[in-house]
Amino acid sequence: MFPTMLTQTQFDSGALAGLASIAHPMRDVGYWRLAAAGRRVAPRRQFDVIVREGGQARYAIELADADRGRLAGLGEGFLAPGGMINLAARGARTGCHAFLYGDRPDEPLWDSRELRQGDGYACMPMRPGSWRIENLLDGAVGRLRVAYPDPRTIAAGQRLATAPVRVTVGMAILPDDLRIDPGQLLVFAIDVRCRLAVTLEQPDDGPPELAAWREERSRMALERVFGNDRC
Amino acid sequence: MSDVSLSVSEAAFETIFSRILPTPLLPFDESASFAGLQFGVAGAIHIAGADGVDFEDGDTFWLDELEIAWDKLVLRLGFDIPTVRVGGFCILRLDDILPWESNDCVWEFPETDLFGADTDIGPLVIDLGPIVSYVVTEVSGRFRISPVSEGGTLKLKVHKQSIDVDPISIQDTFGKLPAILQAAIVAAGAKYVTANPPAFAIDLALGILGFPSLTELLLDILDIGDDLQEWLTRWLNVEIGLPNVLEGLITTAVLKKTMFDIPDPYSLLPPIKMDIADFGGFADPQPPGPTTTLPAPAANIVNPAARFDADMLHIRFDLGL
Repeated sequence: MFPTMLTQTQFDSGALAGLASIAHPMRDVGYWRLAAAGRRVAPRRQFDVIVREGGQARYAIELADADRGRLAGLGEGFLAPGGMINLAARGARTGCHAFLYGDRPDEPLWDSRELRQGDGYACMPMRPGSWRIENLLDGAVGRLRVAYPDPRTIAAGQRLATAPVRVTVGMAILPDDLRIDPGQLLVFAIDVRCRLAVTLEQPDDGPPELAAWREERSRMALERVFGNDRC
Repeated sequence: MSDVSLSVSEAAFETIFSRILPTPLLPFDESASFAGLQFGVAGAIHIAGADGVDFEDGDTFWLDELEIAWDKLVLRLGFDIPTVRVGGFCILRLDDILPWESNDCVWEFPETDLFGADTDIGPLVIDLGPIVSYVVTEVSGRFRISPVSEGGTLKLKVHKQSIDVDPISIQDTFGKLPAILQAAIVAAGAKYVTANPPAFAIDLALGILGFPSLTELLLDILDIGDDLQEWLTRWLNVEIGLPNVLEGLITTAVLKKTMFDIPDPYSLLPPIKMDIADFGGFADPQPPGPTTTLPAPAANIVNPAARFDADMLHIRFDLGL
């Protein structure tokens, strides 16, 4: 079957799922606990985050997995000051989020549903079409065009672009009109409180003449191998 | 010198052997995979006869050109779309934020495989029935005979000593094979498109893999080159190892054959019914009636041997009298 990630039509930084990631910097030395939350997240899925000199530059945490029970329990990671927690939820279907706690277990210091200055969010839209980018907390919007992967350009020797495209989310989303190839990564640098939603508004199924082009292209490919015999 | 010696001419042996040689269907089913292609073959052959028998000195004979008839040849093709890995690269390094720091990666986009290791298309079943008459299978071999006592008879059994199965060749002079395979590829593409309706998803996957069309991806996985018959025979002979498969089938089939059955004990005369008045005398007790039957004189077969010389098979044994 086709991977569902290829047909993902919405990314929400407050409901992490699929081809997306959040980064949160940890500047101060100390001890924190990160708790995963969400409808399909295993209960008590928690991670101790210890920031100290000599720690790692990043601590990658998978918040959810298709196998709900497999990731239950406590994880532990050591970060250097200035290092980042990397969150992902590749197996999540309904999205999940995380809370970061300090001394007080009932008062989260950080909630991934409300990103802050210094945080990062990245997502990889695959579905061609027009997308809307919006900071749900202040209404700033941007436009995104994911190009149709036209096989005629592939036949001409071009390849889909793969370099990440960087976007800044401040009082406005800049640049506010983006064009990418499917599979190109959008990397948002966060300067204000935000919850980012990247939503497909108008799918692009490619130019109508592609069907005839595909048929002719296939016929020629078969002819190169099998000769002129029609099947 | 043995008590009993039977001689069979090469011509008589060949006639008898030709009658017992034909076999029922010998089915097989094998598969192999390489570089994204699963190749399976299900077939059935039978041995129809042989072109000739040459006796050798000793206990072996040479069988020229076993006639192998193909009854079924079906291919199964399964295609794996290559795994596409996205992510697994660094988004942000420490010195992007703090230029005086190291370039350690502080944020990495997680790695994900978009296609797994399972078969994505197929298995596609291709009946090569229309070309089985063009499949050439040349088999010859050296066989050994030996007398074996089994269930009250002395049997002359045939054993394989060596079988030469030439690589299978296909002499498709009418060019049916290209049309059959071409139709199969078109069907595979259509089946995949039906199972995965959004055209964008197929174009996207193909775009990531660098193929303009599904047909070109399938042809790339098939890796046919410029000679279809050579491609098919390579898969059959090298990847599947069909000559070895056929050798095993033929060996097993021939092992079941028995050339001659000689009753053991060996009867020298039939039972004799006689009038007791005509006989010279009986040890006690006397037979009760006017007639009696003398049991058939017989002897166990001992020291059996079977050997060929230039043009004769000699079966010899002693009688355990």
